Amino acid sequence: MTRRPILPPPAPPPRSPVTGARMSRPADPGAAGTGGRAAWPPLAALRRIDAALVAPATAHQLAGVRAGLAVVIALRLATGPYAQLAGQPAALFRPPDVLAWLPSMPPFAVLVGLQVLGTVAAIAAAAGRRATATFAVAWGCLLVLAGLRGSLGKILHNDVLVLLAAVPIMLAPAGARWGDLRASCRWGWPVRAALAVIAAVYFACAVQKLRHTGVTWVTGDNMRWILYAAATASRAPTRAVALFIADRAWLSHLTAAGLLGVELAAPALLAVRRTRPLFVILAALLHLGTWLTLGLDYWGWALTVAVVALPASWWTVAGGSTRRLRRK
Amino acid sequence: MTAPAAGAEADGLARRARWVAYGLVGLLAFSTIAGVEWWPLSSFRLFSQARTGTAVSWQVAVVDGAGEEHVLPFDQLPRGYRGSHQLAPTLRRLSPRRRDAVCRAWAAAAGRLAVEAGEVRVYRVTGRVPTGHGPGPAPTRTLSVTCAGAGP
Repeated sequence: MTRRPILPPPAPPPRSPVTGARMSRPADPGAAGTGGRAAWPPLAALRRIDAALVAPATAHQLAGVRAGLAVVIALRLATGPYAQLAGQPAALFRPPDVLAWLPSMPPFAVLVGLQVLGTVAAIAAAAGRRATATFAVAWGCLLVLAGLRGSLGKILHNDVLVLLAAVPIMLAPAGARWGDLRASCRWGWPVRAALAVIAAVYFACAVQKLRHTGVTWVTGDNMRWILYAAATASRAPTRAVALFIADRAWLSHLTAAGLLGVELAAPALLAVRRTRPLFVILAALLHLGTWLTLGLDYWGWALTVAVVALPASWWTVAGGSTRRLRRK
Repeated sequence: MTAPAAGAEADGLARRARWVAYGLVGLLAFSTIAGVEWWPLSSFRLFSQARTGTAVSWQVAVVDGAGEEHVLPFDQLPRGYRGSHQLAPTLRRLSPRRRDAVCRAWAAAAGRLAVEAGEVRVYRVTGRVPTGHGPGPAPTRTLSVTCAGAGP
């Protein structure tokens, strides 16, 4: 004779949306350990961010982002003036810490060799050939060559964003291929981590402006003097744009506010799938404006934002497949 | 794959994701707050200092055998020399040996422009930023460092 249970058996824990396995923790993170009470809002927000980080995505999306970043790296390597760095006197060599082990600027053959090796590796990574290894080789070549370019006396930031955003992609699990529509948390987190890095970099730029100058960065004459100095330096393709803005105080304030606003809004705009294309456009305008007014070459930043944020926006996981690809 | 094995794999991937994502964002936050420059990690102080109408720049000049001074046109020199005027503000803090090495390199650069340099002078130049509407007052130069351009 079997005894009937007095209480109904507890419901089994829910299945993981990633693996289908039973989860050991309660499904509602907000209720975990709180006796069913709603979690403190900031904590709940952090938990939502954490859940989004490890949410599933397709291998196709990761392969797309990796190929895009590989193309950016290939372009940076192929078009950079690295060979011209040869012949720098050792006394003038001021490498960043990561290259402090080098006694002087490497010779021409080494610089060109790294440039060719890195470009070929980046093209191979973009084509999906041994992508994990070739992407790492291309990244390493850009790290060294961009670091050497910044060894002339002034640290350069032109390649910093692509180098940092590529780190999570390099550390992603191997095996992501174009056309593989299986959704798994294996493929989702590297792209979202790259998005987080991009958001953090733009936000850091804004924080430093507010920290070292405050709101007078926008309300003062700061932007006008930046633009007048740039017009004097004549590095931009034209002086007309810088002078046009600098001569109009209201336009200078508006430009400064817009620039700071884009940087401050980066985390919010990149966190929401629907606003990522907007940030891509704003970042492109920001860097186009920087080139037109100051003559600074930041197209690598604009391209990096586009190749990471757009695929993450287009191909979203919905019930184990991607909406965009399902329509095809 | 069995359910426990799949769960363990998912846990491992989630752990890796958190280490990488939060680790990188944490490093960026640290470098920003602490102001460290571990390139490519940076404090991202791009244009963060307010600019005013006063501009400070540095000029490197060499003195030839006839005592005539020639300002080094860095933009006309090979790329390896181009950013080196950025070293000028730090020159006073260098050891005499390293400072002399930098000065000899600049003197050699002058040699590329057919100027035989006996002495190198580094000036701090302070002036008004031109606004494109007529010439402003002439900038003032202050001698910062003098060193020998020729080796011992």
